[in-house]
Amino acid sequence: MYSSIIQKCPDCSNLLSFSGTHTNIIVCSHCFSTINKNKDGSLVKKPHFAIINNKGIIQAGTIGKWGKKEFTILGRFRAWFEESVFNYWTIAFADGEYAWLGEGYGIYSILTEYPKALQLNPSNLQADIGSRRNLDDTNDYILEKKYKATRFEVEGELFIPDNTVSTFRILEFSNETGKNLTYFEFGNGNIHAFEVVYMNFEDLKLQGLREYDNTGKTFICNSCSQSIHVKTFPYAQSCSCAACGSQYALNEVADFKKEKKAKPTDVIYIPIGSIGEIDNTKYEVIGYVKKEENNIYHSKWYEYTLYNHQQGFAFLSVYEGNWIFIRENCNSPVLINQNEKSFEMGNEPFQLFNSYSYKVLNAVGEFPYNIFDNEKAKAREFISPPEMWIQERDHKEGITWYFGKHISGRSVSSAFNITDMPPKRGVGAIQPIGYVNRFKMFLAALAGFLFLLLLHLAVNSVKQEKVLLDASYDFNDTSNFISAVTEKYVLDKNRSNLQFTIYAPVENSWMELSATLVNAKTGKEYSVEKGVEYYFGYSDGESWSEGNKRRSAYLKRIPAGTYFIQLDATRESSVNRINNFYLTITYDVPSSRNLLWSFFLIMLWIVGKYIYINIKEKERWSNSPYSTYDDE
Amino acid sequence: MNLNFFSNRSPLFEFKWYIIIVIAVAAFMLYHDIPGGRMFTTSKTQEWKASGPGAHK
Repeated sequence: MYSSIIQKCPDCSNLLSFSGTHTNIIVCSHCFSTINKNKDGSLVKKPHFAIINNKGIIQAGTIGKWGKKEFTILGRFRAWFEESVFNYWTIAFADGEYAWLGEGYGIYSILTEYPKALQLNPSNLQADIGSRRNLDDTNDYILEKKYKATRFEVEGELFIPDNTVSTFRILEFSNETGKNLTYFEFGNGNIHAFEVVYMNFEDLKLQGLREYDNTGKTFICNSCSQSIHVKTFPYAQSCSCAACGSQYALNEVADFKKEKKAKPTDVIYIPIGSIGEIDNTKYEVIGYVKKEENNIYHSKWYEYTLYNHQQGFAFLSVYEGNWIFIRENCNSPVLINQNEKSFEMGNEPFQLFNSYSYKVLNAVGEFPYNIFDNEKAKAREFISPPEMWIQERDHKEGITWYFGKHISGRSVSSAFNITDMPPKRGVGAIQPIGYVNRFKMFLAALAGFLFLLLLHLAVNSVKQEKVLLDASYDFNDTSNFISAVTEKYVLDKNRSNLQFTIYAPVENSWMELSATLVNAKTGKEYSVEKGVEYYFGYSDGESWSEGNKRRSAYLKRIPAGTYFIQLDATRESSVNRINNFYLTITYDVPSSRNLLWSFFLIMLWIVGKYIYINIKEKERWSNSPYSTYDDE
Repeated sequence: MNLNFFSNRSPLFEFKWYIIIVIAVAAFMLYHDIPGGRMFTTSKTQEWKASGPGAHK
């Protein structure tokens, strides 16, 4: 619990209420002066900027939850970096602890002071992006970002470790276990380490939010004198004139400075200002940009910048009619070795698909950061369809990760209610094609076989396999024909089969058996014929044989009843004729043929799927310089 | 584990058609196994009753 401390504003004498001893800056609600509280408790007016306009949905008094701990938001400082702004809201927990809620661009995080971190000195802060160091007892950390805040503005009541400075530096580190540390340097070696935990907006369960109120920024185009309104300023820091294509980026004094002019002539399939819903979130299209790879391929693609006041910025990227929905994501992979071509994230393997630097050919609308100065940035795309991680690395801006997922053209068309879409060609980089890796296919085949086998065994374990007849029959010397009638048999199963196994010692001869099963009550007959033949000899010095002395025939699906069997056997009337044959009649036998055919049928799917996946994956990777498929 | 293999959140989603095929093949196999049938035979059994000849597989 925290208790209020009431003091008087040194400027207008209005009462100021500090929620506790921890906070050290407050904005007077009466005169909007920014007041510092010194260590001795005295108050002094300080020329920090107070945030008057461009307010987001979070405000002092908003309450939320971090895990099980409830907190109240007291105020913020909004830091201006080279190409971005970011908010650090001071939050007070019910147990009297304080932390910061980091917020901006749809990224939310809780920052808590981390005294276990290695104490850095100012010379450590000169480290290069991508450098490694050990900062605590866990794995090595990679330096991913370095920023300098050129100024900051305040709102409400807040804590900042050194309230006398107007600038500070930040270094962001991450390690492979997903732990993130941020160091703030407030000058004179006053360095504080914070542990940073990233989360989604929904996880914070914020209540008491205010209406989104952002007046943006309006200025006049130097080229055509048209008015340009940047509605998501100060988060959008680059834009383009819709009338003449002049491109602008924010300079150090927060004015838009012209970069160059390039009037776009492309077809913009999703008009600027369109509103559409993706992943249950309404986004407004605020920008469109055409980009080109700086390599021999000169591949061109298009990106639509989307904005939602809770979720921040998102992008719809389209290449040859294949769409990807992309958002910046700080719960990202950490590559200790920056040349790695694969990694695992969430138990899914991601493979390097493409790497490139790029340039912006033309643009319409507004964009987060400065998109016109990224020609030195190197992008690397790692895919695990239908998902993708994109790493953008710049020696100045650091390492930024974006998470992309496939979205069908139909979903985009339906979300933004557009009928004219770019034509689709080939297989998209992360287009799902029902890919299944070989090991999983093997397991699936095995599971299928086992399932069928167990089912087959279960059904056939109750087969009677009852031998009705096991006899031999002799031919008369004077006749090549035998006719016989068996005794009556009771076939008691609702439906079953009879197997006739004939063995005849034929050698270069044949015999034929005809069997008729007669229902003793109804007279209904079922008959089957089977020939047995076996031939052998020598031809061109090699022996050959053809046929079989043992054959089987079946009567299938015979209904229950009392039956007798009429047998008629015929032998060949030659010198090789046989004298006798053997016959076994078995009732209710299993058929392994059914099981083998079933295996074959499911293997058709397995093999067909394997061939299909190979064809499609080859097509997918034909767009990648990292393909392991041979070119034909 | 989400066993609804038609939901794209299920780990079985990529096998949805395979599962359906296995179930269909299993049903087809049982259709033959239980009454003593044999799959895909070319021979036909001649059947005769008082109303005249016929055949069944």
